[in-house]
Amino acid sequence: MQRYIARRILQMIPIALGISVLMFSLLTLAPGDPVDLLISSDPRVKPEDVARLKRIYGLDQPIHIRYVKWLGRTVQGDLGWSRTYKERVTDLLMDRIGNSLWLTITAFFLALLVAVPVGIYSAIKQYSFWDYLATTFTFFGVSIPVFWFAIMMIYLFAVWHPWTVWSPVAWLVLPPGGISTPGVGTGVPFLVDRLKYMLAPSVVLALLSMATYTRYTRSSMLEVIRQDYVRTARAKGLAERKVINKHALRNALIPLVTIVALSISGLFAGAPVTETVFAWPGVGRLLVDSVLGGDYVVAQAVLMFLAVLVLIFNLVADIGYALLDPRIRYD
Amino acid sequence: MRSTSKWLTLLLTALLTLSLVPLASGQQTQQPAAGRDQVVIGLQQEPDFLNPLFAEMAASVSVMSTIFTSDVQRDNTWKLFAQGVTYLPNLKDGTWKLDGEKMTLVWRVKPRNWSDGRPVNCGDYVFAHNVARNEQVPVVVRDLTNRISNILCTAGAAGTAITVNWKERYAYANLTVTEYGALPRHVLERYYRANPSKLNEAPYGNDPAVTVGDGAYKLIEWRKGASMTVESRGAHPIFGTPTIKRITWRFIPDTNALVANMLSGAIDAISTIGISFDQAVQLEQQAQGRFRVFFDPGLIWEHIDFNLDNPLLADVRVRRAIVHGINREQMVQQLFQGKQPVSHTYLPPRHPGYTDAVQKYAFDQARARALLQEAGFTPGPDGILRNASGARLSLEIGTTAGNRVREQVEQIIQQNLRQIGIEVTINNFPARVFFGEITNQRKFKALAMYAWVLSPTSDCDQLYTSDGIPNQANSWAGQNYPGFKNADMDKACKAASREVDEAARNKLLNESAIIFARELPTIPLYVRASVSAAKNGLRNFTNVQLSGTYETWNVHRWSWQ
Repeated sequence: MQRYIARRILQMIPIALGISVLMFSLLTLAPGDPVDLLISSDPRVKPEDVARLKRIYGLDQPIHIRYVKWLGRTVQGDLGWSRTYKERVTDLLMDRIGNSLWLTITAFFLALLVAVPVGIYSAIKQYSFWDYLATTFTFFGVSIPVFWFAIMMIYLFAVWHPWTVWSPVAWLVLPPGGISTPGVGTGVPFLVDRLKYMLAPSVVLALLSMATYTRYTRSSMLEVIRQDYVRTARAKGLAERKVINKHALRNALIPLVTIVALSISGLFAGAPVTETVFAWPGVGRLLVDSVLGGDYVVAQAVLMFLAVLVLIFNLVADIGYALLDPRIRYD
Repeated sequence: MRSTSKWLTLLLTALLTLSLVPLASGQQTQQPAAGRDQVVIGLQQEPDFLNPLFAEMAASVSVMSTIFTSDVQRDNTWKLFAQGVTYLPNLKDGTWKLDGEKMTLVWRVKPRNWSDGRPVNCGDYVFAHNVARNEQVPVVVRDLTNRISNILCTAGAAGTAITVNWKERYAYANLTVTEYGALPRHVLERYYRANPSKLNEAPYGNDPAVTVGDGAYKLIEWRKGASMTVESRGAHPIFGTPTIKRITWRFIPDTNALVANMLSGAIDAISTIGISFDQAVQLEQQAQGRFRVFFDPGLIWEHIDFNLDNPLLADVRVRRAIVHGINREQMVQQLFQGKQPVSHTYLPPRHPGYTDAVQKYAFDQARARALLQEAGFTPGPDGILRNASGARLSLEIGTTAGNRVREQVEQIIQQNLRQIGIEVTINNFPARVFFGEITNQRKFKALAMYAWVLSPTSDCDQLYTSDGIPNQANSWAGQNYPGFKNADMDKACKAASREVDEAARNKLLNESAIIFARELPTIPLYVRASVSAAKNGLRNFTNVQLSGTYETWNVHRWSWQ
């Protein structure tokens, strides 16, 4: 196992380098260099200004020299300076990762908290009303466009909120977007305020994962409860609850654990659509904005960071799978 | 199973009802979002920086109007007034002197302090100018800076009298003392001396603790990606004491969410850098008297460039026929309820150089057919016109992919021109490709649709002069994408850009507008309206969107009813 992990880590180095070359080349060679675009967007910008700015930013050098310099700085932890945000990319990225994690971790646990029991119940009560309801729910969950659901949540909880005429629930009005109330302070008021802002985007974000996890849990559970050893457990006269919890569930959750481990890297990537609609300053929105705004230094940093995370969590998932399932052995 | 279906039907009905019920119920209050001494504005962009030397975004300019004093500002009628200076230099009283090709302007700055208490003086102007001149500093635009030969503090660096000597004549020299005005030398100089090429990485303009300005407000909080707040400095010698103590901008990149914020009452106003025209129309329908939605003709001009290197478009009669063949009036009625009027020349009606005495091309298909016949085109077997050499009159139109309005306009043009025997094929590109290659390197085959963001000082130099045609030799500089070459136009545009007398300049611009409408290097489509919204109770909020002037121009006069 140790040899396997060491080999995988060594393999990750050329893969990460390959990704970096590909990503750097694609972003750099994309049409519409941001400095060149200045000349067509503002008549006051002259060719000599473009040449001067390229010289200052080092954009006048050949792509391979720029790549080597970029790689050298990145390895030392210097991700560069954002031309759009006028901030060190490392600070920017750390700040945005923090914001994204608030949202994604909440959504992740919300999704698991609902999906696992619903998936199990749905499987053990197959073809019941509740199974149909759960299946319909998962169908909606995977089909509803995130941006539409997000806008509907804003309209429902921030604009329309028809229940507010009934005083016991009149408090249930959510902010239509943003991350916190300006000047809210620190401590408990900050936490309460943050939770209020997080509720709607977390639910939106959780919906898709909820549906996916429910489907995985249900199908995996269905497969397991038909296995011989489960039948044997029942034949032994074990209580149904014990059969499900002790024999079926532990095995049914193995594929889900893999999916969950693979999803962890996604938590750091944020959620571009949800973050944009809810004006949540996370990593996903940062990536979209930096690509659209031609701030390639930021885009490169975000993409590279996410690529490395994916590589790491793929390894974690593989290791986790081997630990959980004794049938899996790595040489 | 039957009961399951019933449940599912109920669930579906509930969901559908939810999405169809009118969303604005009138329950929302017209009260300020954050108290009567505060205003919360929704902004679609987040400012990039609040240092005038490096700020590139319109959102930054809008916010900077509150924390800095402009030398000269425009009001909501686009009229100029002296804000940070005591008068506008002019030729009559000798404060603007011409000396052959050179000029001298004499200014006097209104006494005021930076927000840290230090006085604003001539030395601050000289410092900002010298920084902008330095080749190592990554300032993007140095157009005016390069035209100025020197700045003199006639009453010493601590005084307020400034003389600016210009190397060449420049028509709009009395709109600002220097390109970047005054900057607090006492704050910025140490960063500048340490590393000029990294001055844009200094915390000034980013960190509220060191961002001192000379405006009515000071920056107190900037939550990146979320919001920004400025606070009144109290009594100010120029602006007095603002009624609104704090102004907060919330950055909401999704425009649908921006609309929802306005409907929910979470924001008090939507900036002109906010929603699109059709969203403003929707918002107006849902306002129910709670807020006003503003539509005012602006300076963003939508048009379609002809590629004049295309042999099919070389004859002006063909270009005129195409414009006659497009029902632009019906287009603006159908798409914009007439709120974005048809344009007939390159200058919008509110531009000081605009004239109505230009050749106009009403929708007239018979006239279009006659002009095409005169130009030698006859119908082919497929109904598409052909010239004497048999070339089909087939034109490719391109624009920024995903822009719904422009795509609708393309379809209308395609249908209209098909009726007069012209085939139009559509080939759109992502904005980055369209502006990064297709237009600025003149790679469009026949027609390219986009907008120019003009200002009250925009003229036709580089836009329609032959030296403004982008090519490899000039590193694709210049904005004359149609490739228009006309000696009279060159003469009028060059003279206008150097004419310091406003009346004479406007006459030259009138002349250029007439030549433009006669020669038609471009199809003028319509002038976009600037749109914004504000709660009814917010007084003195105006809808302005000029380059350099936004709704915040009079923020010190805002108040709640």
